[in-house]
Amino acid sequence: MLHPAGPRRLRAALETEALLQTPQVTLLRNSEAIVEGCAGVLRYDETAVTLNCPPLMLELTGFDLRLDRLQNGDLRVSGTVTALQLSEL
Amino acid sequence: MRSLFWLRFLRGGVRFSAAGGFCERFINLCHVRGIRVHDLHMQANALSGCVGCRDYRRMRLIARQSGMVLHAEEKIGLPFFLHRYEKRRMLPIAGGVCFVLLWLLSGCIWSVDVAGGSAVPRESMLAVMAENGLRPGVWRKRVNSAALTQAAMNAFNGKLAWAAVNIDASRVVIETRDYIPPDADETYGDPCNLVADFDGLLLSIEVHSGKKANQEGNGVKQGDLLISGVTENRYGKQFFYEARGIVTAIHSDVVTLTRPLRHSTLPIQKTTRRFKLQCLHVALPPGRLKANDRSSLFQRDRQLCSGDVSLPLTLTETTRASYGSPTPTDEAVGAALLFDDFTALCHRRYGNTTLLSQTLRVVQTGDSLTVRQKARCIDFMGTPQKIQRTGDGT
Repeated sequence: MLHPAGPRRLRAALETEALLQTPQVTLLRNSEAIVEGCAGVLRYDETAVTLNCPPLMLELTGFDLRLDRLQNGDLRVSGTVTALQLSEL
Repeated sequence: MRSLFWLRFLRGGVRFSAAGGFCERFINLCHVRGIRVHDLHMQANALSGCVGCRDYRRMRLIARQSGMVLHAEEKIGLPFFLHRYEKRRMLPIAGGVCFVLLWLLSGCIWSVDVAGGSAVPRESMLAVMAENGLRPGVWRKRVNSAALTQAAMNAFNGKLAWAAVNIDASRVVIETRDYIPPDADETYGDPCNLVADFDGLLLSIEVHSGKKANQEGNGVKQGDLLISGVTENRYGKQFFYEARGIVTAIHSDVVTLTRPLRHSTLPIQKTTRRFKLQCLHVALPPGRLKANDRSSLFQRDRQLCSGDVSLPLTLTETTRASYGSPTPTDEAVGAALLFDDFTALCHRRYGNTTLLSQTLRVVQTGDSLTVRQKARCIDFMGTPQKIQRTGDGT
């Protein structure tokens, strides 16, 4: 027999895991973007960064874009971001 | 961000550039193998960034795998800095000695200043402070501000209204305020009248206390009453005051000055100047000028400052003037000296008066010269005269 609080805990844990696996993008004005859940870089140059964020593909467009930190699936893009586009992989 | 910068500086790092090949593959391989790259950007078709020292070695293999040519552009951080000066072992020792010296010396008092009032000369105040243990070079912890303040107040009792010893790092500032005695004019002492102190013609009478006893335009002689200190109310009761006021009058005045025409002067034959730098009772260069009966010494001390902060360095300028034999002067010099003295005398006497007219007369009598000036001027008049009260109180 399950504990009465069991299903609720299980659901909360599943939601947390789903949240952790879901890519999240945080934009700080147009000068910085923090992408969590990034699996890799598909394309990179000064004007565009295309990131693999399963199940989506994220394209940041702008100029003078820099990849400040890439570790543990977190990436910080600084520069001037002018557009953000999401598409299916 | 600042802490991250210092952490990276302490760990040390390499600024690299990678050209050619597949830059995306390079970035992804770095990510997968846990190499922490930061400040990654494209610069002239080459990828630039910063990486830690150990990670840079691992990165060379990745660059080869992704077909890029890796080039270390700059080595930054503390490990590289220390490696550069590894052989200079005395450098950190000297740095440590400097730091310890600075730390030790910053615990001492190096400058003592006096600010504020002018009733007590600076030298006297510094002498009192030195007697009580406050002088350049003492430990700051041994300086007791409250005791020093009390000592200063006791030493200059009646001259100081307030004193404070403020310690600011290695500098001590003694703030003082002069004691100002109550104005004698403000005290209501014995009742008195204001009488004329010379003959003249009254121009104006402004009564501050008492009763007007004379009119403008009247001629008065010395001793005539100007302002009375006795007033009477309508019931006939008398009140006694100290008569005060401002009275102006026109009067004639004569100034006479007589001086001999011939003097003897001591000409200065030679002047010697010496400069000394004094620090904590040590003077450089040593030795001092000596005076004899034919010479005089003049000394001037100047405290060296850096901005508003006085340094514990004093520049002493000593001048020795050696005199020749007395030389008699001619009559022109004697006359010039007489007129200089006469001008100074007139300035003192007529400093607060308005001259209406003046007549100057110069008479030579034998070896002396006399200057006599008759002047008509507007001057302040009035001197207090005590009221003699009888036994019944009137």
